[in-house]
Amino acid sequence: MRELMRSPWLPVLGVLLAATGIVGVAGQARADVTTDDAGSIVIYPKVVSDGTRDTLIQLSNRSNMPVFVHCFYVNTAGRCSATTEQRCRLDGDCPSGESCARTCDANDFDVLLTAQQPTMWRASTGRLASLTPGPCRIGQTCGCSIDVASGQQICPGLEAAPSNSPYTPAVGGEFEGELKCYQTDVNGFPIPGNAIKGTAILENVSNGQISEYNALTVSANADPVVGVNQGQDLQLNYSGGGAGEYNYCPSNLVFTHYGDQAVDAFTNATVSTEITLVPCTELIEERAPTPVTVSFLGFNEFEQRFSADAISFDCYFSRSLADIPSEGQPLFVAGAGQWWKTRITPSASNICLTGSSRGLTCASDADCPGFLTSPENNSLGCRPAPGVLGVVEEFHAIGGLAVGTAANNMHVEGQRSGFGDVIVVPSLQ
Amino acid sequence: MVQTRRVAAAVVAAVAMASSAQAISTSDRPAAIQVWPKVVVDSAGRFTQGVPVNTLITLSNTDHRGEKRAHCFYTNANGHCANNSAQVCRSATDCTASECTPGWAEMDFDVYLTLEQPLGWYASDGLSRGAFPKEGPFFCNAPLTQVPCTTDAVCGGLGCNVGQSNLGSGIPPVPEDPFIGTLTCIQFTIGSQSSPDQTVDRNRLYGEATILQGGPVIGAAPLPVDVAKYNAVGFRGQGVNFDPTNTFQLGGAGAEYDGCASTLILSHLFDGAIDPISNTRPASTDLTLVPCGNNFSSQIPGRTTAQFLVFNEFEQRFSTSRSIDCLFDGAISTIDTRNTARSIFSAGVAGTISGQTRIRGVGGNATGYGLIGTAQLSLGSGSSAAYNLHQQGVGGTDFIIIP
Repeated sequence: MRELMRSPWLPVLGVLLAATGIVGVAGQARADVTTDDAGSIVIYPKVVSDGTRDTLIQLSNRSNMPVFVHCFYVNTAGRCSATTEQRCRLDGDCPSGESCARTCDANDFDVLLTAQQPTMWRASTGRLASLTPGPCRIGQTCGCSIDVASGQQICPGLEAAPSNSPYTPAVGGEFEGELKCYQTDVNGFPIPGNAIKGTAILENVSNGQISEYNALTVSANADPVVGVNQGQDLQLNYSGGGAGEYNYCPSNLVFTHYGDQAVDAFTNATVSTEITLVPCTELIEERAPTPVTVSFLGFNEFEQRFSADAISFDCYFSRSLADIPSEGQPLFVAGAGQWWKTRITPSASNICLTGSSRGLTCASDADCPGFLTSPENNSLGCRPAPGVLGVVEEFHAIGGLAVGTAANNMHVEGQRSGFGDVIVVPSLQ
Repeated sequence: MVQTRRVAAAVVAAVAMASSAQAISTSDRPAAIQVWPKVVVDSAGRFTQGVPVNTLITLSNTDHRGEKRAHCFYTNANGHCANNSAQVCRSATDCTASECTPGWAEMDFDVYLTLEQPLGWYASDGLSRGAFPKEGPFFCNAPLTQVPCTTDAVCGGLGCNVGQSNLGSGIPPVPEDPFIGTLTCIQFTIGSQSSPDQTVDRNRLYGEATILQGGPVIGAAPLPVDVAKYNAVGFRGQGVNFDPTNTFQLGGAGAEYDGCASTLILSHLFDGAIDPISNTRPASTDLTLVPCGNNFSSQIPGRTTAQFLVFNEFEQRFSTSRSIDCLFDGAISTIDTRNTARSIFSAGVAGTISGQTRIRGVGGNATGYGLIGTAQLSLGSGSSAAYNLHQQGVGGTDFIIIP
């Protein structure tokens, strides 16, 4: 069991809000994992703070009630297996014979948003709750500053937290991973409020180029009997009717992109595309990385079709097309077609989520020795391979020099079924 | 009148609609109608400080079985100077001693997409015959499968096996340069020139737009490049098609397609706020809004009034409204005033860096009052990112009427 870093002042504030009659939840049930609307789980698949790039997170409450949100960063930054002081993204970044070992460390925190409140923070520094500076004024510069003592950013605005406490934590300068948040009641139990949404701005601190995407949201079933319960298993098994907690993840992701190393005819820039995927299943309580297996199926404008099957990863996948299916061996290249439409599909097989055969295909829990069981008694043994969500980012370069970036959300197709996915969140202590 | 002739259809459709009554537009799922709210071309950089601008459009077919046909409409929202109709303007300051007269004109064309095919083109150029990837030559039917053909004539009565191809497609360049406007593509059945596709394979199209700036300049050094990308907004077909077949109902009882959202939500940094990462560059957000409905048949653009409700981090609320006549594109701090420093969208007035703006269409004309849009954040100059707006709730009924 791991300790949940829940702010002790939140219950107190909740009582006050309840007393004034402004605590309320239960939004409309919908059936989407989407980037268009608010939801009860919000997922930022790509958050980077590595010294070269940083991320500005925006999170908003679209309801007229205050909302409580519990978030966790999952840091998957890699280091070489033996030369551990060396950072890496791929095995090829490490000395010969070494592999790039990615971690899957979760770090959680709480955010309270008042009615319709937007908020934002810089990932690397986080944001400090502070009564200063006051609101910006006409004619004055409206920006943030760094608190010397904490190293956190102080910005004009309302941080619903005790002054001089971290409103959101700093991830530092060695972070690559995702941010997931879910809506809770004042006591920290998940609720189906469907009120939170977000965007992320990825910024290159050297050349200033920015990309922006909408966070993915998962809607929840607000039915008090068969909908979201107070347990630690956030089950993504709802299809829009009947029983289930949160909506299923999609069957496929699909997006259109330049062929790798295509030259844009208008700008003459060479374009590379980076695909970032995160699993719908997350085992935070178990501190276990989620094994994922997906396939890529691409079609170019000439109807040529290439596929890359059984691409496996833990927790997080962020790779240039130049390294798909494997490092330095691109499949979806510009020579075959300027445009590609690529579909990403999770493996149809069952795999061991945990245990000594983690990530291997299986027929039953017996094939997954040592498998774990979730707090709500869901087997984390032989389960359908987790679904995935993601975002695409293009990098435009001229003469090898980066000149522009652009991100956009992938399109989704269909809906998974059966057990679906599960996010096991930390226990309340 | 449109509403009246829909009454009977609404009764018939009520049962079918029961399961989809909550459906609204989408930017992340394939659909039967795709709308790109912002298409810009300005090869001389007249409105962009000399930086050339173009839009790369991609349109893809997700159907793994069959060819799909899209009937598309460019909407030219350029204004022109009242005393010189050849001069494109965005405001009166672009004209010499005359007003800038708003304009609206549509231009339609067809695109045929083979199974699973992605297509891309620059709005400035389009794609003409000969430039499409699947135009032949094809091969005769067996046993003459090695004989290339483009028509049946060379196949000795066996027929030329054209299969799936882009034949019949023709994408024109946008009609003017500079250009600002929209693109709407509607999925039609292959065999019929007049039947929108409401078959089981009806929702198979999706699209993206990449707004490109800078690049090579003849006789000068290349200009800095900037890239911004957003997803087209889709409306999924409901599987029904009522008479008249050239009138498409979006939302409401008897809807043939998903409706527009009742509210769009823009997450933004207030204009003039300093980017918290660079700590030096001021933010500016361009918002593009267009009506959901249009009458392409009688060339009457959608008109509506957008109500804006702006929230800062202190939960303070500001409001304004603005008429959206065909298209609005501009910095958010120009929505309510010409003095941007005094705008409710400026950081100095709002008091915080981040904001959330709820946008709701009201009023409107015969084609409805729904809105769709996109946003483009700029930090300083030469660095921008486009993104889709969020949405909430089911709106009213809008109509797209085609010739």
